[in-house]
Amino acid sequence: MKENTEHIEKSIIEVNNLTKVFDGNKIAVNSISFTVKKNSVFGLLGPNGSGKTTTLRMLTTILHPTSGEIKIGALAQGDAKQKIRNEIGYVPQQNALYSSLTLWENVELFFAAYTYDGDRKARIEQVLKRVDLLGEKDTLAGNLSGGMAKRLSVACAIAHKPKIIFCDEVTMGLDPNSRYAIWDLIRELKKTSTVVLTTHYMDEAQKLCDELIILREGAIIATGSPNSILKQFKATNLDEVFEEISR
Amino acid sequence: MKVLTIAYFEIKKLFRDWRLIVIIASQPIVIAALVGLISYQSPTDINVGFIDYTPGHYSKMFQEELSKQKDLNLITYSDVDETLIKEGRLRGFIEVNIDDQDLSNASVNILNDPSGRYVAFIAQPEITRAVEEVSKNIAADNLIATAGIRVSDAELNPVKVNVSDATPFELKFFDYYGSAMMVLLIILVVVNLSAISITNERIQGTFERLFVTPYTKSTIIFGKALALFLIGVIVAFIANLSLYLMFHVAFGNVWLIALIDTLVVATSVTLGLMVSSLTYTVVESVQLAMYLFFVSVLTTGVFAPLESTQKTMQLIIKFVPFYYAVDASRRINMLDAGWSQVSANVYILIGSFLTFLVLSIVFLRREAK
Repeated sequence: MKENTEHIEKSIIEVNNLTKVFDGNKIAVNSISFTVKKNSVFGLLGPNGSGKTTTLRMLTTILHPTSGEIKIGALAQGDAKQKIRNEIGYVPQQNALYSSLTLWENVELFFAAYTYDGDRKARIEQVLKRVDLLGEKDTLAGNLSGGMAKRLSVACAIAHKPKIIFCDEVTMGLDPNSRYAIWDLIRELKKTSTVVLTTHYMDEAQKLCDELIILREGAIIATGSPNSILKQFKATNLDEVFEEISR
Repeated sequence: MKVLTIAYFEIKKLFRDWRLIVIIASQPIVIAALVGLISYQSPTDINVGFIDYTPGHYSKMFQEELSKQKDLNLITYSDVDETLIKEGRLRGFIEVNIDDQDLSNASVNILNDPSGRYVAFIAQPEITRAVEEVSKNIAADNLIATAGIRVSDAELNPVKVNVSDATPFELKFFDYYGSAMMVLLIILVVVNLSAISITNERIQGTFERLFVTPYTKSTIIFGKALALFLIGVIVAFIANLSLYLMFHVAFGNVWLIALIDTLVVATSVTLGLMVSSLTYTVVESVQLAMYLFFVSVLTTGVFAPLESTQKTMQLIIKFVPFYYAVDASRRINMLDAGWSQVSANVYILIGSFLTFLVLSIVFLRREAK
């Protein structure tokens, strides 16, 4: 009993036999199970079409699972989607920002969806400062560079202080400096939230993730910390693992 | 509160795109001007061939009577040449056979251009009137010649036919189209604008992001509907003002017209949002919106009255909400109809607006394709 309680306390996401089938016969995710620990960075890795984005979309309540169970904290997703949405933040692959709104207005619009007891203006200011964009608060989002837009996208996802932040290919297409800035941000977010991310970049996964799963054709083929996976595949880095599973 | 937030930022987004604002604001003005100028007056300067086979006193009198009509341009010919009609140079021929010496076979034949129906529909009453005038003169002359009796016009034509419109207004030819345009201009602008509002966000990815927040489907639809409704009201105001200032279109009860226009805006917004909920791409949304717009134009009696429509189609039209809007607009503006005469139309429009609103929420998918 004690062990069970401890398990619930430590893990913030529990996924059991999660399956997603499109159009009746295309299995995108095939009965996967995993848990994500609180205040960790958890990675979903895999080649294109492996099911990582579909998994993330089910975790973020965008897609309905065909079968299986997702628990966020103590909430089962099937009954409490609206409550779960209050607890999570989402940084989509495409920046998904309103180009004709300013940085401040973008954060304000998404932030307005949540109940928040404190001073909203102060919080928006704090968040923009945190992503180093406060000086640009009146700039239209459409005029931002790729890296700045991604940082704004993160700001929109964290203003309400979510317990879990889901990031889909968060550094895709960014130059090295912008990538490093996002990495720093994720490491900082880990102090107060749990981060679940999908990525193609093996170095990113190795440097950021505490734990990860590698997916292929909708199934988990490896799970654990980056080091344990390297041992499992007798590889020196995750690129070699990726090469191995892609064969 | 969340609805107001969505609406506030929706309006901000739209008003920051000045090109879109120019397009939206200019549409009712330019289209109202075009329709007004195109249907400005009843047809004039109708070229008609005039052939007098038996020149004489009465045929000349007939020609003079016809010449009084400023809408007809009579051009004298010696014989019918249908090529002139085919070439579009004449709208018809009037053949006159009124022999002063033998009136027993007197006749006037009209050869009409069917592609325009000009002579049949527009000139025929004038030709009939000219024939009546000549016939009256022939009868009067006969009475004098045969019995030496002189009679007045009233005695020769004791039954008078008076045709007048059941309206207190001095109507113009354009008013028939003007009242319909008040409704159609709103549908054109508002349905199109609403139809892309959700699809556009799906493409940008912002919609998916909104759905990961606690914003509900109904919050998003209500918020967008409110913003688009306010823009639609401005469009309606511009459309009506343009029609009034440019063409002095007839107006009945202004409050009733405002009510009808408000309901047309609300129905157009929710119809557009329903289209946006149903479609996956902007191209699909625009195509479906234009499809619905043209169906609306064709079924609102702008081109043909309901009585000339095929029977089954008449029944189908009864299910088109905008038919009731145009019908009410025409009756208010052209007949000075009041609340009791158009209340049924108002209830149908309210019902349509609510139905489209519910359907747009029901059809709204969280999942992108």
